Amino acid sequence: MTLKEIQGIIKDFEASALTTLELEIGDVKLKLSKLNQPAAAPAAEEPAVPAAPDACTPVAGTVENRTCVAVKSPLVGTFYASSTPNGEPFAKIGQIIRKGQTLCIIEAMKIMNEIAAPVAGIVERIDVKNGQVVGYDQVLLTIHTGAADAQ
Amino acid sequence: MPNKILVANRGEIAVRIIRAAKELGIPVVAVHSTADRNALHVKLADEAVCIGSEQSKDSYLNINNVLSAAIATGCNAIHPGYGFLSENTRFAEMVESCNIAFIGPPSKVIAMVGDKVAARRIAAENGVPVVEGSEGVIDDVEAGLKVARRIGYPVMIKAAGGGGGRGIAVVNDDESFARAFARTSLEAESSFGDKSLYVEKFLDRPRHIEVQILADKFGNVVHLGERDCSIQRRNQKLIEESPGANISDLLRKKLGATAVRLAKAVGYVSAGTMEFLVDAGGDFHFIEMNARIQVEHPVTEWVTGIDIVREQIRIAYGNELPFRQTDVKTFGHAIECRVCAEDPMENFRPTPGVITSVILPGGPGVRVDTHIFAGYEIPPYYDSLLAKLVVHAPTRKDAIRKMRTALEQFVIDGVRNNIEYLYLIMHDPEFVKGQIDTGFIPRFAATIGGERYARFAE
Repeated sequence: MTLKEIQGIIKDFEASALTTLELEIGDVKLKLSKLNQPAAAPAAEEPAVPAAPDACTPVAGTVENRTCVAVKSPLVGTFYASSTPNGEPFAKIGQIIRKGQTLCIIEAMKIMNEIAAPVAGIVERIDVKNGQVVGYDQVLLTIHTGAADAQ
Repeated sequence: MPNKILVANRGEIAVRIIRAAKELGIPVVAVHSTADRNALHVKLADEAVCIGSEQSKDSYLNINNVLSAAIATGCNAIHPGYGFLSENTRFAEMVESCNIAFIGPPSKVIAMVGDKVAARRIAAENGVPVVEGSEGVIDDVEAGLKVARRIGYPVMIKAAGGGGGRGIAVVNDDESFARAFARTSLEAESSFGDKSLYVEKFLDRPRHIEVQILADKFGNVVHLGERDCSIQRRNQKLIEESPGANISDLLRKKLGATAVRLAKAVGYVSAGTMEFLVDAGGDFHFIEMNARIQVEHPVTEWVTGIDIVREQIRIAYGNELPFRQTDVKTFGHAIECRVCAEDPMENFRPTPGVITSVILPGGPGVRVDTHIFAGYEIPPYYDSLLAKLVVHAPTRKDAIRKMRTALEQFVIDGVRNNIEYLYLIMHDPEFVKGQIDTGFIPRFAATIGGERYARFAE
């Protein structure tokens, strides 16, 4: 299954009234779900896209190639995945996000700083835990932009 | 809240502070720039937080990020080290208002002594002789010239917000005064954010003698003897020793008592240093107060047996000083050499790079405070201090011999450094006789290299 086909499925799914979709084709498993739905599928811990050559390899540290963008912390503080302690996270794995969309909050000295997505794409990986202290330049999330890998 | 200290510094002093804290059983948090990810202080700490990019202003001077790191990691104390934010009043104020212990004096004391003009005035008010000079800040070149003519050339133009030997110009006559005034004012503005200047008489061949102070929060103040820091290049200390060579017991007592009196007058807390110039006639004059732990503190630790950084931490956490002045005894002689990543053959140009191998000297009475290790890459963004080699022996001559041996055995490969240069100084007749003053390095440079080096030393 190609990345283009997966993207096509995601597009169709988003446009549809479906809230969850599970697909298995060959050795490819796809789980899609929409936020703010009580019956949403459980947040997947592993990437929702197969380990194709241009996917973001799950290594610690920055992943700087054209398909993967590491969102780094611009300041020192505490990472919060949602705006309230038990609230819905801003971004979940597999979620499609727009450029500028709030991904998380870094709290520094009682001020909540919203971190905006630098690019549009799909949340590939969340690299820190809720409540974790993060430093300058620390990778918070990794976004898969879907752009073709340079050969 | 359990004790936890954030070390707001880098390099050898960060390692020093971490050691003192760990010996007290207190966990530490290191902060570092992106350039210092592999630094030793980061490896030794219990936790580490990256606080910004390479430039000091973005990281080690970034008050918000340093404070955020302390709060986020649950620290209840911050040790600022020396340089960076250690004498930054605003930083100390913010730390205090976050209910975190600032391991240093109260912010209002830092403000008071950080203004060099105010410090001179306080000294004068407390009967401490100060170097002849302007009453306060010099408003313009004309006012400055008046003072210079009154006290007589040569004079020094100094930045009121300066310190650590920076923002100083020596002027010999009226013609050079205006130019030096303008240049120093600009330097002061960019280095300290304060362009105010004052004028002091330039003493001929003075000795730079400073007194170490330790004070707790209960008004107990002691002095830990004096240090001679006359061996300076461009107002940057290179070699320090304690006790001062050829200092009479009477002068020693006077300096100690004066320093304590001054410290009490400003309500000093923690470790601090009172700096004096002693002229050829044996008279001493106050120049400035340093409200921080200093680079050369190890020489005092050797001769007193007191761990100054440990006492700073204990004081900050509300403990009384465990000794009185009568308990402070000094013994033997200590000398410190600052080993720097500088090339003496190339005008002491800084030499960042990768250290390929290190062999440290050792043995009884030999101490090395350093952050370097084989494979470490010295970043170009910070100071060039690589290590402090500090020896202690029963007499000054013994200490010199020990330092010579230690320097011989100290190997740092991969970057040019000043070890051989320091070794030469240890054999200089004037140095060995203890006939040193702040004019030593220019004279020494002329001796070893003729005109070529004399030019570099000024």
